[in-house]
Amino acid sequence: MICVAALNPQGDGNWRWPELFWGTPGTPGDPVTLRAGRCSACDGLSFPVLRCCSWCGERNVEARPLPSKAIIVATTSVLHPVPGGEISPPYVVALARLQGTDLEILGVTDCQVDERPLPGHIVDVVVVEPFSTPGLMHYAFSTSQDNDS
Amino acid sequence: MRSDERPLVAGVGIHPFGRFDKSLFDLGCEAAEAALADAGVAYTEVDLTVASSVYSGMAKGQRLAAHLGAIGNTIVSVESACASSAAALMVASQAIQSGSVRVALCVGFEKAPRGFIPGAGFEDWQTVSGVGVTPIYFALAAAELLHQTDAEVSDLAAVSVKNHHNGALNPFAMYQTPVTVEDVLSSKTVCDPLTLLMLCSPNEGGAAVVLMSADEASRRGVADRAVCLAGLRVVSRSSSDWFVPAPSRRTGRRTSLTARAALGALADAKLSIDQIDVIECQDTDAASELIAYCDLGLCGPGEEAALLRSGDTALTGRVPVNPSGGLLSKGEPLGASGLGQVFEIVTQLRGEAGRRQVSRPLRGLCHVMGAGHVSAVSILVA
Repeated sequence: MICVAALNPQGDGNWRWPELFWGTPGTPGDPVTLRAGRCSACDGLSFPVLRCCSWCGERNVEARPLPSKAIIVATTSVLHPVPGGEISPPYVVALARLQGTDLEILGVTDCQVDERPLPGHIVDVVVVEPFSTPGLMHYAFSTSQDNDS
Repeated sequence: MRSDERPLVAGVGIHPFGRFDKSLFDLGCEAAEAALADAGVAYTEVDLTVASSVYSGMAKGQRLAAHLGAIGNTIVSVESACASSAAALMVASQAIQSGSVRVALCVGFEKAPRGFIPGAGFEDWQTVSGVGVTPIYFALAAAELLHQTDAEVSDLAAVSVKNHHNGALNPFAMYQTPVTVEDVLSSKTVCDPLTLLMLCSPNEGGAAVVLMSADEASRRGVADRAVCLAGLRVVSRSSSDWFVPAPSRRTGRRTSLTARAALGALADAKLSIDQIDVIECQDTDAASELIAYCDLGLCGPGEEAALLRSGDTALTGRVPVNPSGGLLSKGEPLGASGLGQVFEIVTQLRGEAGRRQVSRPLRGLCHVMGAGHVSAVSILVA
């Protein structure tokens, strides 16, 4: 899902939950590539990578990068503080299908509550820094790119 | 399972759902004592106690039993989120069927915190990133339902209106005041399209059932009043199921753990969904009830709103859903809600539901979902 990824707040440059990312994420606004697991037996994708295929149980799962564009399936707004969450409301959460795959993932978006993308809208997966703790970053669906969907 | 091996529900009891100035164990004990009295059983005669609760810590069953008059018999504590008490029912049911236990007591009890439920099966990174609460997922499912079918926001409100109508007739419900569509739509937005009155409130309460074999019920002279637990399935998610804390899901292979649980339980009972007369289902939010219509087989995909609008699921309809008022009006004490459904269906099948009594039901179905990880369906037959 979402998120995640967060630069260590002590500023040592280490990302928390690095297993969610393909390579080292960049700075806010940069595209980010998430790390999925692909099953050698059924070709099924899972995010994040699991110890075995979540579709058929096969243990031979290899990591592969996910596309950095996604198609919005559904959205909702979070208007009230979430226990344990480090993002201040309001914000928008989206379910989106990664382009060229049959995998849907969840993520926050960088849009305002009243400017949310509609189903079918194409978004980019980028690094954002929305947390209340400085230096924490994660991935989000960005609606800032031109869209012709 | 042969019919003569099916356990009987010989007694049911409930503590109202709401907020109370009582201890956790008072809630459980009052429900348990009511169920024992209903079955004509003393706690000293109970071979197995299965306790379910989410927020009561370790050894909850043993601590509860100390208040009931523990006698050193077997006590098991279980937790499966909102499906906890269905898991308790499964443990007790299988123990009765095995022949190793004559009389079993299931007790669900809870004092849930107010507001968003933290830690409902999410990974740490989901929690930190602000998506670690269930209403977000309920809302996404609701939004998808509205986008992919002809269901409208007013239909979500209508589910809440229906269930609050029923809850107003239920002395055990937390909210006993009817609401209008306008009330629901104008209540505070939590995660759109869901407003406050489209979501259930975590709360406090207790519910209990006494199970025994048919032979034991006959020996005790309580078989006539007992209800048969004709089918029960507790199903965990597969990766193609859309479940609440899912980091990802795969399109094109979408399946439903509730559908699998329902098909299994109905097969156990040798019944079809068309033969079910009354249903209690997991309406943690208004959209979840509509989605359950399809998952349980009451309608096809896309027909959820039409079924609601037809009035078939109303208290006087063809197959009333949530005659108790459901979680939307009762609130949800997580560890007790499943047994609360069994209490309601048994009460309905006995014809003892008072003003919320549905017309001559013979077969009922209960459905609970535990944080999207677990779905349980049980079939009760008069």
